[in-house]
Order: sequence, then C-alpha cells, then structure tokens
Amino acid sequence: MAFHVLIVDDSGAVRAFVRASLEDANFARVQEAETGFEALRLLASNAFDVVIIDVNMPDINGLELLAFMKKSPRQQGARKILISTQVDGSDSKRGMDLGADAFLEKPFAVDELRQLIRRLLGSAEEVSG
Amino acid sequence: MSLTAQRATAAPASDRETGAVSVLAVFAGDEAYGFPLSAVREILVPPPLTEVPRAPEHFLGVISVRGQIITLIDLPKMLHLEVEQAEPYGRILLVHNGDELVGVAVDRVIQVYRMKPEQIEYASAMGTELSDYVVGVGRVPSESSTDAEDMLILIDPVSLLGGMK
Amino acid sequence: MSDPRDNVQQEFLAEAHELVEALSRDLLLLDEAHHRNERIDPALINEIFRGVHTLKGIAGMFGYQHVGAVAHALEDLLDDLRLGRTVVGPQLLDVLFDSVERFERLLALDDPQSPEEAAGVQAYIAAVRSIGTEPAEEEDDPLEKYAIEPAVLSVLTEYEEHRLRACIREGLQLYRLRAAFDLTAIDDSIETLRDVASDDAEIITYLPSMEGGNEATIELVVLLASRVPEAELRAHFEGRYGTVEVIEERTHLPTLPPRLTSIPSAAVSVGPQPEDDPSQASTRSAANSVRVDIRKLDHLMNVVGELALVRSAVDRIVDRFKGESVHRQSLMDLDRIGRGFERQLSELRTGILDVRMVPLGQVFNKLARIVRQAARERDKQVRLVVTGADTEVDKLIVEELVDPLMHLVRNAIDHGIEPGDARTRVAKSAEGTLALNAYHKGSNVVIEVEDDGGGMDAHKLREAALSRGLLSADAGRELTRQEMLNLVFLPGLSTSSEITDLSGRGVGMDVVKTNILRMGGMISIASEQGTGTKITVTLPITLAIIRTLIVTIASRTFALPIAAVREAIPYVPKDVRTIQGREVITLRGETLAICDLARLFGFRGSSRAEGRFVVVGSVGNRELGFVVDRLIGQDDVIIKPLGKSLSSVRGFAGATDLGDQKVALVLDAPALFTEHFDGQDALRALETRV
Repeated sequence: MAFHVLIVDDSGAVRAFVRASLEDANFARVQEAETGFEALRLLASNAFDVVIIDVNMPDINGLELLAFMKKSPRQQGARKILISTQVDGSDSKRGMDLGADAFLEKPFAVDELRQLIRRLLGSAEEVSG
Repeated sequence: MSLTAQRATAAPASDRETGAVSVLAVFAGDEAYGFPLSAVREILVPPPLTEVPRAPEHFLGVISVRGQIITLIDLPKMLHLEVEQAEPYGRILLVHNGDELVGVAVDRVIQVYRMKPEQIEYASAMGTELSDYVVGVGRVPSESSTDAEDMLILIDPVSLLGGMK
Repeated sequence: MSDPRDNVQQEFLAEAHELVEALSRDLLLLDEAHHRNERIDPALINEIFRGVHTLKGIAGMFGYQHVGAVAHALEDLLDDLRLGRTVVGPQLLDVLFDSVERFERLLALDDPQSPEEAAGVQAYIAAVRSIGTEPAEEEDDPLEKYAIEPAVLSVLTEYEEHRLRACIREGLQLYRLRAAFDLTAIDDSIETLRDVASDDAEIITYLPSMEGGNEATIELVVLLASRVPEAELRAHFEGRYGTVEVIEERTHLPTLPPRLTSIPSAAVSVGPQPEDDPSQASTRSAANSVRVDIRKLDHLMNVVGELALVRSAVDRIVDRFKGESVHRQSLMDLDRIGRGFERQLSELRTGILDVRMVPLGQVFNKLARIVRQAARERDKQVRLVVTGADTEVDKLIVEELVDPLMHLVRNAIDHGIEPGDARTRVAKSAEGTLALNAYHKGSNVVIEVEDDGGGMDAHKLREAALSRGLLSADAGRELTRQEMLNLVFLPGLSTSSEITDLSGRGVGMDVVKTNILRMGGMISIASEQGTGTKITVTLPITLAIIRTLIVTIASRTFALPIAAVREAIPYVPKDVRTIQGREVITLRGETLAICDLARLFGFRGSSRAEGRFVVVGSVGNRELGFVVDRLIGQDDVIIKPLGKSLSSVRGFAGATDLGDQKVALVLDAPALFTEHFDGQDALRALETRV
C-alpha cells in the first residue's frame, strides 16, 4: 500500500526530486505544496502519512508549519520530516522541540529518504498494531 | 498514411552476447540495402512530394509527416550509382541519426534480418569509393534460391545524413 | 532502477538558471548603489544571500558539486557582508559578477563534476576567500529589548531572526498584525497584503495562529517591521485586515537616509528598471507561473494544424451534400458550426503563440553586464539607459538575438564612445550614454542600440571600400552618404582590423546583418560624426506564424510572406525591356527590375504564357518584381524549417503544410533579392563566411 506523502518546499527542483524518488515502484503517492499557504490548504482537507517540510521558506516557514500541525487534530498521526541545509543550527533544534520526528540534511540521497520514511512508518504500525 | 504497425522499437542495436544486429533490408534502384533497424523510425506509404528547386540531384524533395517537414533523398543517386530505369518508389524509410530525421525513398521493403558478425564484411577491407556511407556488405540467405546468398549494401545512417550537402 | 535525478535534472537546471538570473539582476542593483555612493539596502544583500544559499542547496542534491562549492564560498562572503564584517568594494563586486559567468558555465557542462574545471573552481574560491574581513564589534542582542513572546521566537528560523535583529538595529518599529484569511483565496489576499506593505514595511514572517480559524479560514499573525508612523500603519491595515498591535514602543523614529529599493525617475534609468523588469514581477507571482518546454508548444501547434485538417475534411463533406435540399438546414448548421470551430482554432493558435513570448528584459540584463565589463576594460565611463525591457518577443528570436546584440553593444563601447578626456575636450559629458530601446511597431519589434559617441566617418568607409576593390570608382562617386554608411555591412570590409579605427566601428557587422536577415528582419544604421550612432534592428514578433501570399509557379504552389509584398499587378510580356542584361518593366513611371521565378528555379516549359502576374516585393529600400503564374490568395501559415541538409539551397525560408499533407515552399525574399541584385559572388562570399 502506497504511503500518502506531502512535500512542502519552495524549490521546484527539490519537489520534483522527492516526487521522482518516492513515486518510483509505487512506494508513495506524493502531493506538493510550494508555499506554507498551499500546505495549510492541503493539510485542511487531507490526511497524510508523512509530511516533508523545508525549514527555510519565505512567508510561513517550516517551523511555523510544524507548530500549526502540532495543534491540528487531523494531522496527529502524520510523521513530520524537516529538511534543511544545516543539521546543527538552531533551526533543527527548534524543529525537534516543535514535534518534528526526524531531521534530514540537504543534500540527501533517494535511499536515505525512503529508509527514513520506512523507519518512521514502521514504528507507527507497530504501535497501532 | 503511416504503417504504424511497422514502427521500429527502441530495441538494442546489437545482442551483447552474440554481437548480432537487426538489419532492415530494402530494395532501391537495382540493389538491396540494409539499414540498422534501430535507426529506422517509421516506414511510410509515400505522401505527396514537393520538389525543391535547385537542390542537388539526390534530393527528391520534401514531404510532410504529421506536420513535420522531412527531406526525402534518393538512395542510389546519393551513392552515385547509375540506375537503369527510375522506378517509382513504393515506400519511405524515416531514418534517424540521433540528431535529425530524414526520409529515404526505396522501392520496397524486403524483411528484417538478424545478422551475425561473420555475415558482415566491412568496407574498410574493400576500399571502394562507396565507403563514405557504406558500413560494409552483408550476406543473407537468398530470396530466390535456397542455396545462394544475396548481398546487402549496409548503410551507415549517421554518415549518410551528416554527409549530405 | 533508474536514478530519479535524471528525470528531474531539467527542473533543476531551469530553477538554477532562474536563481542565477535573479543574482545577476540583484548584483546590478548593488553595483548601481555602490557606484552612486548610496547606502546599500540590507534587504538586497539578504536577497542575494538567500538566492546563493538556495542554489547551494539544490546543486548539492543534483550532483553539481562545482556549482555547490562556488555557491558555498559566495555564501560565506555574503554572510560576512550582511553581518558587517566586510564592505562592498570594487574587488568584492568583481568577484560577485564573475560568479554569474562561472555559474552559467558550470551549469552548461556535460559532466557537472568535471575534473578539468576543478582547478578553475579552486582558483576562484581562493579569490573569493581573499576578500578581507574584520570581526564585527560585539553588540548586545537587540532582541532582548523587545517584548516578543517566546512562542513566536521559537518558530523563527535563523534567517528570520537575523532579519528581525537587522530591522531593530536600523531603528524600525515592530508590529503584530492579526488577520483572518479565507483558505481558498489566500494566495491573492497575501499578494495584496504584500503590495500594501511593500513601501512601508518589511514582513518578517507569517505565523498561522494557534487559535481561531476552521476548515475554511485561517488566522495569521504577521510580524512587521516599519519606520512609517504608527497612525499611518494602522490606517493601512486596520479595518481591512484586522488588528494591529505595537510591540514595545519607542519615543522617536530615528532618521536614516532612504534605502535603494527602486531606481527613481522614469526619464533617466540606469540598469534594467525593477518596475519595468517583468522578470522581477514574475518572481513574486512564481506560484502562478509554469515553466514550459518549447518543444511541447511546437507539438501543440502541430495538433492545431491537424485540427485544421479535420475542419477541411468536414468542409468537403458539407460540399458533397450541398446539392441536396433535404439536408439543407443541417448543412447550414454544420457550416455555421464549422466557422465557429475555425474561430476557436484561431484563438487557440494565437494563445499558444502567446505562450512562446518572453520579455526582452532577459537579453537586456545580459547586455547590462557586458556594458559594465566592457566599460571597465576600456576604462571608459558609460551610462546605460534601457527602455522597453518588457517588450515581448518569441523565445526563439530572443535566443538568436543575443549574439548580434552583444556584438553591437561591444562595438558601441569599444569604438563608439570616446574615453572621458576626449569627450570633455569636445564639450561632452565625461560619461557616455548607451541606450537600448525596444518597442512594438505593427507586427514587428524594433530594437535600437544608440550611443552618443564619436559617430562614423562615411567618407573613410568609402575610401576603405575603394582601396579593397569592393567598390568601383564609378560606383563610389555615386554614393549617397547613407549608402556610404551602409558599406560597413559589406563582407570583406569590416573584417579588416585596420578599419576599426578608421570607420569607428568594429569587425563583424556583416555577420550581424546576416543573422538579422536570416531571422526575417532588417538592420539599418544612422550616424553623425561627433554626435553618435544609432543602429536599428527590426524583427518579426514571431517566427512561427506568418501571413503569406499563396502563388503558383509552373503549377507548383509557393508562399511569399506578405511583409515582403507591396502589390501584385498583371504581367504584360510586351512591356518587358532589357537594360544591361536585366529584365525590367515600368511601374508608375519608375523602373522595376523583375525576376522570372519559373526560369530561376529551372522549371522548363511548364509555365503559362498568358495571364501571369508580377508580385512586387519590397525588402529594405529595394523593390523587385517576381513573375508568377497565378495568385491563389492569402493564408496564415506556420513556417517549418527545411532540414539542415537542404540549407545550401538558396531562396527558401522554409516550408509549410497547406493541408492534406501538401507542402508549399516559403520564399525567402531577402535572399532572392540578394541573389538578384548582389550577384552570385556576394552570396558566395556570405556563405563561406557563415
């Protein structure tokens, strides 16, 4: 069964990369949001298994989106992955405080992303039986 | 209209283990020729032809294929061969050199042969003036008699298209 | 399993190029501000930093290591710049401008990790790192003075925090704006908010609020920084959006010199104007735009062509049943529907062509960099004025235009504009002006390259042509001044390097002219010695679809672009006279040379004797009558190129499918003119050059 994934990143190239990496062999069904606003719209009417969020977006940044998702009942089950170019900056720390399940540093490879998603969702399945 | 059933697929040019090559054999003028199947995009029934004034003799003109303007060449003339009588050509091969698409007018299509390296004699060994466009000569079982062999003049599409002036 | 990166590489390249374009534009703004000794806007530095940072990120993901390495070095430099550890200076600007060329080159490599490039990249990075920096003075954290709740601080990214500190340091007031937005219309609402805020305030971040909102609406808390008085800010936002709260009050607003956020005054513009520059506008509304592969558009045009065939087929069926009155009503309905269909098809065609149009601003940006570079190399002061950067032109034309325009611009700076002291000596301003103007005129686009330099010496040009045997003594005597200036386009004249100083123009004008002609355009030159030179290039707006006159020559159908046709008159064989071996007729008292196309093309004995026509063609200021058999009518056609293999055949601009797979060759009027008037030798000379 394919996972339902949302990628939120203002870079078209990164979104295309994630889509190509995850839709191969029906690993996942991917939806894209270019801005935090678009993400809010999609989050309001869909339930995702995984939400991949770029920290550094203009207007609504990734951290703000995380904070919002924390309070949103519909998205409680979603695993949240934060992506950014710096792994040891304040951004990642704040992200974890706001409920991110994992942090992925750019540049990342296809396999890294898929393994991370499997790991995150594997643990969820174990918990819920 | 095009015989789309005969569209060449993007099959590998040669079989890695045996080195065999698929070759499309055609008849044009008085000779039989062979083209690597992988370079042949389509085989068409000839649409209306438009001559191009003052073009060199081996250009028959241009045709329109689904909106694209394609140059049509006369293969024997291209190879400077004398043809005894000009037969109206029955088919057009759309040949691709990786860059551009060109139409080659032929009388008829014979068939596709799977040729093994030992059936091919390369032009470098023959040293005739045809060697610009000709890869070599291939031997295939004859159509007419069971014991004899026919010869195919094997054409290199890349140099054919690149070499046209 | 294939590497997904292969498929998306195009996406990456397109985005990377956009980032480099934006970098180039921003650098020009930075350069201008520095040049005019104005205060550098920190927001501009941050924009540049952000762009380079993004480029570094995506380059790494797609295996463009060299690009990533260069971006990384630049990022560090820009970080130093925005934190005040270094300042803008000529060396820093040069290094930044170099990066644009370097990025373009590295992005064009077949092997993005090419080891051959490694040395060059290393050398460049060393140059970047050698720009001097000093440690910034330690300051108290300005954020501590403000009553911003931790919940807000905890969701600010490092970048946003930096912006906040920078705004505070500059003495801006902070505000919180609470507003509710309808989720479905939120993009437009945010656009409007941005517009309203842009002059007066910087928006630090938008926070989706934890309370309020439901499925359809969302509340946002917008953090703003502004130097506009509080009352004014409230007037702008309250009521329209929601409540405005001040974060910590200050007793006075510090005065600071105005920021360089836009280049003032429409009369004098330096560098591409941000207001004029639509590519800047398009970055703002990036969410509304789509990148398109131009091959997809070509495919769509082909589909439109096939639909036209469908329409013709329906027409023929209608014709077939026309006689039968039983179906008369249905036939009339069908006919009417067919015409409606044709109208829609025409709209579709126009729409697709419109998608291919891009603003000339892209080219002008590149030219602006060339101007800067060339002016520095030649140690001349040049001011660039650009108008009409938003004039739109077919994308294919833009690509073909870059080289000729670059050539003209370099020429103007190398040979046109004099060095500062030479100018002041003749009572000109030390700074020369180079103007790039573009505008639509009818179905053409006109581009002018004008300089106020030394102009061209017409007589010296004539002398040079005479001495090279390109002009006979007799012909030389008859030349008008304009004709003497036009000599600069002669092959063989402008290739001589001695000519550059003599004529006041550099090499290669003949190549420029050939390129322009090949696009179906025209080029002309006007010049006054001592005052300056203006080169005018006229091009069709789109190469794709052209209105043509359909004719038959010896029973074969041809198309002649209407742009080259003045009129058509009956051909009266007995009126033809021969002068100096050329056939001519008289039209309204003037002599008109004629060319029998059937004879030129070698069609023997198949043209009609009676009832032929002369199509009077016009190219530049010359006229030539083409003798044809019949005039069929006018048609808008899509010109397709003839294959490379036929490029040596003269006289045809391409071919078009008239429907039913019948192909008509499209005549190339300028080439036919050249062949007729300038003879085979001139043509051959042109060909060997190209």
